[in-house]
This record gives sequence, C-alpha cells and structure tokens, in this order.
Amino acid sequence: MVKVKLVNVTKRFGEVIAVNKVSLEVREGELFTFLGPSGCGKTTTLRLIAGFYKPDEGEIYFDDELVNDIPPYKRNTGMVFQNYALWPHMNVFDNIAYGLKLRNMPPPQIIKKVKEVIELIGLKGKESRFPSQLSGGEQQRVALARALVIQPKVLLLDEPLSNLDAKLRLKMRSEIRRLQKRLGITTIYVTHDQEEALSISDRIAVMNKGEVLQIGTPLEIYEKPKDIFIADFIGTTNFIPCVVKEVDANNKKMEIGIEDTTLIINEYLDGVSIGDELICAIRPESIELYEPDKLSKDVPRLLGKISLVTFLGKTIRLDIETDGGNEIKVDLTRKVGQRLPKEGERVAIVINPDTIRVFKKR
Amino acid sequence: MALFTKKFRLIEDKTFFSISLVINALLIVFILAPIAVLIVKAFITAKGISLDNFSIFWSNNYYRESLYATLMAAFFTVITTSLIGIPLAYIMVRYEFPLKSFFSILILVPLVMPPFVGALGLYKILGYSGVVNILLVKYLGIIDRPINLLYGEMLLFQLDEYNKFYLPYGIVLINTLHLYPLMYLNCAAALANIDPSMEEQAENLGARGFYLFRTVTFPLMRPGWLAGSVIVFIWTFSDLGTPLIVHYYKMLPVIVFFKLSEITAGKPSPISYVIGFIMAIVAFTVLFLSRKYVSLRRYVMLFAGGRVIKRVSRPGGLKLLLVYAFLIILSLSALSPHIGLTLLAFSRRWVLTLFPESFTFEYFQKVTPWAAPYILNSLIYAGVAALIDVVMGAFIAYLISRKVIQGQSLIDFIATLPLAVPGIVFALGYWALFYKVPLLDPMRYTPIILTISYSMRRLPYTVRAAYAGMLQIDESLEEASINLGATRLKTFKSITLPLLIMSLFAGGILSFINAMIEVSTTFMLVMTDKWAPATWFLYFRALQDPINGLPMASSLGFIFVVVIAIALTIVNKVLGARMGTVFRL
Repeated sequence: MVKVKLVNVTKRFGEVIAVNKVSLEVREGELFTFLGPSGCGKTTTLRLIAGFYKPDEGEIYFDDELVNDIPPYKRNTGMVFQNYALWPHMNVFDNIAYGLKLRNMPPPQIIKKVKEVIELIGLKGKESRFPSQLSGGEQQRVALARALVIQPKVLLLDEPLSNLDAKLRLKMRSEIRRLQKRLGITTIYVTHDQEEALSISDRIAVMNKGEVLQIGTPLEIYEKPKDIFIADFIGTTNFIPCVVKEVDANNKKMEIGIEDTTLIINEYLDGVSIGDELICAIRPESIELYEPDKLSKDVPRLLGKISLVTFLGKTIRLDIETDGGNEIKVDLTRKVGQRLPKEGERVAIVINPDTIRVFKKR
Repeated sequence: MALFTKKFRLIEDKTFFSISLVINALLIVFILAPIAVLIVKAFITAKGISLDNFSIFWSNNYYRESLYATLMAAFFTVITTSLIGIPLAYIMVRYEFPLKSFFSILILVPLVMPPFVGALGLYKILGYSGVVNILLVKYLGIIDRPINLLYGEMLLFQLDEYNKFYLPYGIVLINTLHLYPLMYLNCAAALANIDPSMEEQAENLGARGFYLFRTVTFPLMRPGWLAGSVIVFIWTFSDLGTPLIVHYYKMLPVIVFFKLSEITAGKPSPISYVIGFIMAIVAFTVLFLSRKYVSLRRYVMLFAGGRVIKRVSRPGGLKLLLVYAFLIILSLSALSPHIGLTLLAFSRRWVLTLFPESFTFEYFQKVTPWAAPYILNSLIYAGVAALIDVVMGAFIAYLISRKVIQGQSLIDFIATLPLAVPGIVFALGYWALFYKVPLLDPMRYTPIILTISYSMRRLPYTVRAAYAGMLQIDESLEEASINLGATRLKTFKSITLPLLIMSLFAGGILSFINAMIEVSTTFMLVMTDKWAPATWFLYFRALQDPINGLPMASSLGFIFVVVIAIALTIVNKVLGARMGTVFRL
C-alpha cells in the first residue's frame, strides 16, 4: 500500500487548463474520491496518476518516489475504466490473467490467483464466458478483478458505476467499499454523483474548473461546505439573501437578518461588517414547519405559503413561497398515517441556526 | 409498438409488398438462379448426375496446377497486401506528421487504375524490356539476361511429381500494387474504431509496444483485416484481366475463358462448369469463414459511454524517418503503373532505354476515333446498369433497414452475393441459363445481358451506399409522415428519397466506374465487335495491333484512368468520410 501525493500539479490541453495547481495527499489504504461536475478535471487528474498524461507542472509521488516520468505500464496501478474496457476477444479468465502474464508469473500460479480473485468478486463458474455474455454488473466485477489481481499499489476507479442501473449501483457501491476495506488498498475514486461520493469515501476532494475546492470527510463536506459552489453541488440547498446585523469577531458569531427575522449563527466571515449582504445556505432537512398560530411567539420564524407538495415516499418535499418573496424547499419525514400538507396552506418556518452557512455574494 | 408496426406494414403496404416481390424475383433470376444452374451443370454428365466431371478435372495435371497457382496467387496477395496494409493503417491512424494528408491521397492512387490497365503500365517497368531489366542488365550488369518479372512464376513446393505448387509472383505483384488500398481502408477503419480505453487498460496492466499490439490492438482490428483479406483473396482468385495481359495462363479464370468457344459452339463444356463450381465454392467458403469467425467472437465493441481520447502520437527521429521511407517507397511503387502507362501512351520511341526519347500525341489521335463507338457502348451499358442499381439499391436498402417485410435478410444475402461471386462464375451461369433464351441470349442480345450482368455485379455498391445513408435517417422522420396519413410509398418518395439521394448518387457512380472497367464478365459475354464495350476493344483490338498495340492500348487505358479519377473525386466530395464504407465488405 502506498500513499499518493500530488504537488502543484497542472495539466493543460492547448489553451484549456484541465487541472490547475492541484495539491493533495491520499493516505495509505484510504478511499479517496474526486467529486465534481463533468469537465472539472477529475478524470484528467486520475489519468495523470495512472500515467496516461504527463503533468505540465508539479510532481506526483507514490510514497516518496517521483513518478512523473514513469510510463503507465510501469506504474503498477490498477485502473477500472468507466466503460470497463473489457477485451471482447478474451474470455473472463484471459481478461483477468492478462496482467499476471505480463508479470511473468508461472501458469499454475496464474490459475490459482485468478481463481482466488474470481471467487472474491463472486463470478465463479463464469471464467470462460466472453464479455458480451455478461450482464453489466458482471462486466463491472471482471474489470474490478482484472485491476485487483495484479495487487496494484493504487486502485483507480473512473466513474465505475455510471453505466449500471440505479439498484445495481447501490449494490456495487457497498460491495466496492467492503472489498476495498477488506484488502486495505489505497483507492482513488472518480465520480460526479455526490451521493455516491458521500456514501463510499473516506475523504473527498471536491473539484471545479480544474481546481480542488475542498478536501474533507463526507460529513465535513456536507455540513461545512467551504464554498457556495460546494454547498450547491452537494445535496439540495436553499440559498437565501441575508443581512449582517451584528458581528462578534471574538466568539466567531454573527447576527443575521433574513426577511423580518433575526438569527444568531455560529458562523463568521473575515472582513464582514454590519449591513453587508450575504447569502445563507440552508439544507431542506434542517427546517421545521409549524402551523403559525401554534408556535410560541418568541421563536424566530419566517412565514409563507406552501406552493407545491411533492411526495417522495419516505420524505415529502415542500416548496414554500415566503411572505418576503423567497423560495424555500423543505424536506419532511412523514410518519405513517400522517396527513400530507396541502398546497396553499400557510406555515411558519423555523430554521435551526446551527445549520446555517453564510457565504459572501459573488 | 414493434408488433403494431410490423402488422401495420404487412397489411397496409400492398404496393411495397409488390415492389419487394419484383425485386426478389429479379435477384433470384439474375443472381441466384445462374449460380444454381452452374452448380447443377457441374454434376451433369452423359450418364446422368455424377462426379465424373470432377475426376476429369482432377486427373489433368494442368488443371490441378492451375487450381494450385490460382489459390497461391490469392493467398500470397493477401499476405503481401496485409504486410503493407496493416502497418500503413497503423501509421495513418495513429501518427501525426507533416505531409500526412498529402500521403493519405497518394497511397489511394491505385484505386483509380483498373488492374489490367495497371498491368499494361508495368510492361515497360517490370517486363522484359522494362526499366528494371534495363537497369539490371545494361547499367548495373547484375544479371546478363532480362527476367520477365510480370509473367514470372516460381515453384513453391511439390507434393509429388504431379502436384506442383507454383506461385505466379508477377500476378501477386500487380495485384498487390492494386489491392493494398482496399486492405488498408478496411484495417484503418477497424483500427480507428477501437475504443482507446481498451489499449489504455492493457498499458495500465503493464503491456506496451509490440506485445500490446499483438494481444489487444490487432485482435480488435481483426474483423477489418479479415474483411480486407476476403476482398483481396476473392479479387485475385477471380481476376481474368491481369493474367491475360501478362500472358500467364495457368489460372482458373483463364482456362474458363479459353474454353468459352465450347459453350458458344453449343457443345457441353463440363470442365468450365466444374471450374466455375470450384471458384464459387472457394469464394463462398472464404466469405463464410470470415463472417463466422467474426460473429463467433462477438467483436462488437462494448462501448458504454466514457470519453474518447484518440491515441495519436507524433513520432520523431528514427521512427519518423522510417515512416517517411515506408510511405515514399510505397507511393512510388503504387504510382509506377501510372507513370509507366503515361509514358507508354505519350512516347514515340521507347526501346531498350530507361526513358522514352520523344513524346507524341500520335497514339491518342489514332486510337480515339477508332475506340469512340466502343467507349460510347461502355458509357451506355455502364450508365444504364448504374441507373438500375440506383433504383434497386434504394428499394433494397429501404427494405433491409426498415424491415418492411419479412425475409429481408434473404434479400440482404442475395444482394451481397455479387461481392463474393467471381465474375467468371456469373458469366458462366448466364451462359448456362440464358443461352438461346429470347432477349437474354449472350450471342444475340449482348447489350441486354451485358447491362444486366453489370448491374447485378455492382448492385452491392448502391445497396451499401444507400444502406449507410438509411442508417443516418431517423425512422421517426418517416413515422411522422405515415402518422399524418401518407402511405409508405408516398413517404419513401417525399421523405426518404430526398434524404438519401446523395448516398445513392455516390453509390451509382461507383457502380458506373466498376461497370466501365469490368473485365471478366465482359470478356465472357461479348463475342463480336458489334456491341463490344471499351475494355473488350482495348484487349482484343487495340492491344492486338501488331505495330502500335501497346502504346494505343495504353492511351486508351490513360483515358480510363482520367475518367475514373474524375468519378472518384466526385464520390469523395459527396460521401466525404463515409467514402471508406463502400470499399469494405
């Protein structure tokens, strides 16, 4: 197992800067995810690590070894491509054994190794099938097995689940996670699916326009997004304008006004002063709704009217138009037998101040 | 939905149904039946059905050696064209280098030269008194007697005294120069289609260089290579023009051609039919094996999204030098028939010298008025044949791609057959079936049967071009029209045809070109001057002129080359990147 270190790595394609001064460290044995929208540079970064591209600037290290000039076929990384890249002219066994043959392993040992890994991924009995005779999930497993069997220093997964249907995706997701933990292999995972990233990763690097915006555990990324882009990209977020009413620089607290309500929040931005207009980000699930006349007078609230009710099964998504003219989405967990709110109903909106993040206007 | 449309089509479309019946009938009468009759005739002897004809064939050393030589020529041409075509495809698809687009045109130059004309052009380069021999004997003194590199044969191996395998290397040489572009186009298309991640994955696992090519790249481009091999094999195997021009007669098509007098005299000609049968069987086997192999392994690329990053590199240093050396030598070789032909056509005196001593238009002036009526014949036959192909091709492509009626796979099969069936087999079948039949007898109604044979032989070109065009027309465009109340025929006329017209036009021109240069069926079906086309005139009249035969035939060949070059340029303009598809199997 190795750790992977990127120092100021930059990659340009002509005029376009695909990866811009990326520095990060992937720790031994962890599952590290590059998350971002398409074109953000995450796959390019992965391919830089695999060696398919050379960085224009910066260094890439496996442990303490500089690998910039090591060609892909000598890096000993195991990569799983988005489309699996299974060779259609080889059966499952030959696909998986390919890397071992290149390592000059004696045939009996190859057979043993391939057998082990086929059992590990649960494809026993399908050794002589050709890729076209496998289902999407099985193809995925073969691709994974082929990458794992060479005992790579790093496992590289490029959107490995994007071609599977929703149910299978969930299943493979937990399987990959379990396998990775069990083998303890350093893994770099690329996805544009934030839910996938949150659920599978030890740590996540959120990327946009070639830059790493934030690195952190899923919880940190979700609860404390550093950037308005991340708050927007990860999960659903309400962005509502607010005004600074009081600043407590010592305790890192602020008092903000949203519409005609005032809230004290555990947030502080450098250089803000009273009267500044900010954006506050509020998760739909951190909002509670009450009937206006049943809420005690001293609880800060916004008032509004339900404009749309969307039943999602476990939760109910409400779109609320506030009296101040903002649109707020609220997720409610519905208890069995509970009635659905009605469109047009008036509600009092109570926001948990600890969950509010504020950002400067762009 | 699918069920509904199928029913709808069968019940509602009587017009289309009858059109498909007519097309089926034409295909059966003019493609399937002649081949079937030929096969039957191979087994008919004086005492009924037996294998006697085959034992006559087999017991004759000359026939057997001809079979071996024909097979060897075809086999070795596949090897030589592969040795050129595969590296060439790799270079042109995977490398970027200065002058690439220039070379990409130059290496396709053989396509504008009918092979028997190319053989003429090589007379003065590789023949007895050709440039190479003059260089070797007169200037370099390496050998003391000239060798005929065009006619040449060599003994490959012998099973015993009576089973000798000769390789007619002159024919291999000429066909290699002519056919390598077809191999290259097929391989290049297959190579360009390989998903880059396939090779990246192999690199990721540690493969590189030739190992990578051998284990991943080449297996993935094998379908294209096989397709190219089939075309090259069948072409060489059934080529009549080249052996005739270089006077190498130990080839199966030549034997059939020389035995034609038996048939025209109304005598039974069992050996002709046996040879026709063997040629058909070999061609079918090759085609069948290649298809089988390709489909068995399911070479369909499992492409499911992901980004395509082309694997193109810029070679430098020694590699670049080798690339240029390869391309320059190849281009020069490929151009040599053209150069030879041009020099022959325009030179006044060219005897035992490296280059002609003076130039003249004399032969053009002589041959043009003489050849004019024959050229006109060619234009008419090829034109009408191309027109028939365009109409039939449009309907067949429509029937196949839109699955209008059941049994479209049969139509597809029959319409593809002419790609594999040697022209000799076709012509023999026509003799067997239409001899003394009113309006179709080759003896008396040469123009009709010749035009029909041209159109059937070249039908796959328009079918393919139209089919490629059909694939780009979304079926919903037609369904929208039908939904608004148009019949299928009306829809075909007002929606499909206008969108298809350019593809059809290109396919038609290709049919036209190939009908113009068709040798084997022409030589087999034309008996007299009266209705003869230009190819026939070139060989039987111009070339046979005792004094000016070679330069006059070359002048005529030169005209051919110019016409084809113009036609192909038009096709290229129309089809653009899809150009390659029509040369593929």
